[in-house]
Amino acid sequence: MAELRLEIVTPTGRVLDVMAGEVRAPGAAGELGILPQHRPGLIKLSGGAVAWTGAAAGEVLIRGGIAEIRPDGVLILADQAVRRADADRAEAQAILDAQAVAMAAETYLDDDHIFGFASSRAYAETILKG
Amino acid sequence: MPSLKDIRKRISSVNNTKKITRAMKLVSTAKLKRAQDAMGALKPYAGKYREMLGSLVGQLGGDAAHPLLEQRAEVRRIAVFVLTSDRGMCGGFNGQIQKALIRLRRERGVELVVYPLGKRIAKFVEKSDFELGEAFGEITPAATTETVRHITDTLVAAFLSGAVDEVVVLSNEFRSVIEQAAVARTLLPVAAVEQSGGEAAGDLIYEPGQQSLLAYVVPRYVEVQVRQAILESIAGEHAARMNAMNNATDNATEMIRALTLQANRARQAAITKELMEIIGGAEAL
Repeated sequence: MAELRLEIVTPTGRVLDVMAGEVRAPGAAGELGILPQHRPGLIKLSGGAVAWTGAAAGEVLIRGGIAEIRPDGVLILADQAVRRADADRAEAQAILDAQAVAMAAETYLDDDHIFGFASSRAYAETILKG
Repeated sequence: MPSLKDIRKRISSVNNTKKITRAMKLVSTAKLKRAQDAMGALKPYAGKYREMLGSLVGQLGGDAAHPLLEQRAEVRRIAVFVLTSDRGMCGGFNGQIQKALIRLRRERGVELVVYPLGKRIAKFVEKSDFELGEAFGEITPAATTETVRHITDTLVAAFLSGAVDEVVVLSNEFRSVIEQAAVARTLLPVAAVEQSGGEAAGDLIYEPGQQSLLAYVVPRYVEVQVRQAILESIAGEHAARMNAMNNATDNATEMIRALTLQANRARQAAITKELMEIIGGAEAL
């Protein structure tokens, strides 16, 4: 069965580099399914879970990012990423608490910040859902 | 001539200093390794963002519109994001940044607004006649995502509001463990990146559209540049301190050698004097 290479890179280092059968990622415009030989492109991602099938199937939670798709692989540049097993519930709760404070303060946010806000929220909620 | 007791006291004092400088060198060596690892970890991320930006700007050509890419016709005020260390004992690391800041003002001949990061440069700006934008505090804990984002947002806001027409980063570039040079790089407007042609625009999927992706990539590219400058400066500081402490340890070793020689001579002179006195006394009898 054909496979593609899935890499997830953050500012603090490479989080994942595996061969996968299929990759599912949280696209900004809806969930994304990527198979080998997918048409190349750049796709904005929101917060949530990136899951993949194959021998080393698993899940990494990302806090927004961008995916570069090539026929032989997917490279995800994530603002923050953590493997499901290493996800920190306290950190997720802290994100939601900080957002509640920011919303109460009614700080003005531009489109980019609103997207970042929504991505962080989705990331934290995915961790808390378990 | 100092007495033997004075010389021995001096040797003991230099020895204590040597122990401190050697310990500081070891601490800096360990911290340098961590700082270099952090720099290395950012490299693939930063490189890919640069490549993506190049590809998007290349595909969009003249239509690449983003306020952070716009070159202003006239530059009247420049924001300078200056990075130094929080502590001294690192040779000329901070001094060369202060000199570069003064040189930058002379060369550009426009008003500068300084945004310092690191206690050393903050103190310098406080005492000088430079206009202070916002002091970002200490550099040591600044490499976190929140701080990097706050710094980026502040600089971007100053540029977008028209308060400044250009943003420059002035920091020590980490060239090698023994070489750090003060370099001023333009952060905003985002300088022309190498444009990669790659596939034709029609062959690629852009979700949710090229302009929208450009709006997402450009601020993050700026953020990556800020993070890179911070990590490089931290690594440079540890390398500079490691070298300074290494030199100080070598100097202390040399000083102990010279003082020991002096002490031996003084001891020998005292023995000779004592012998002469004994012989003199014996002859008198």
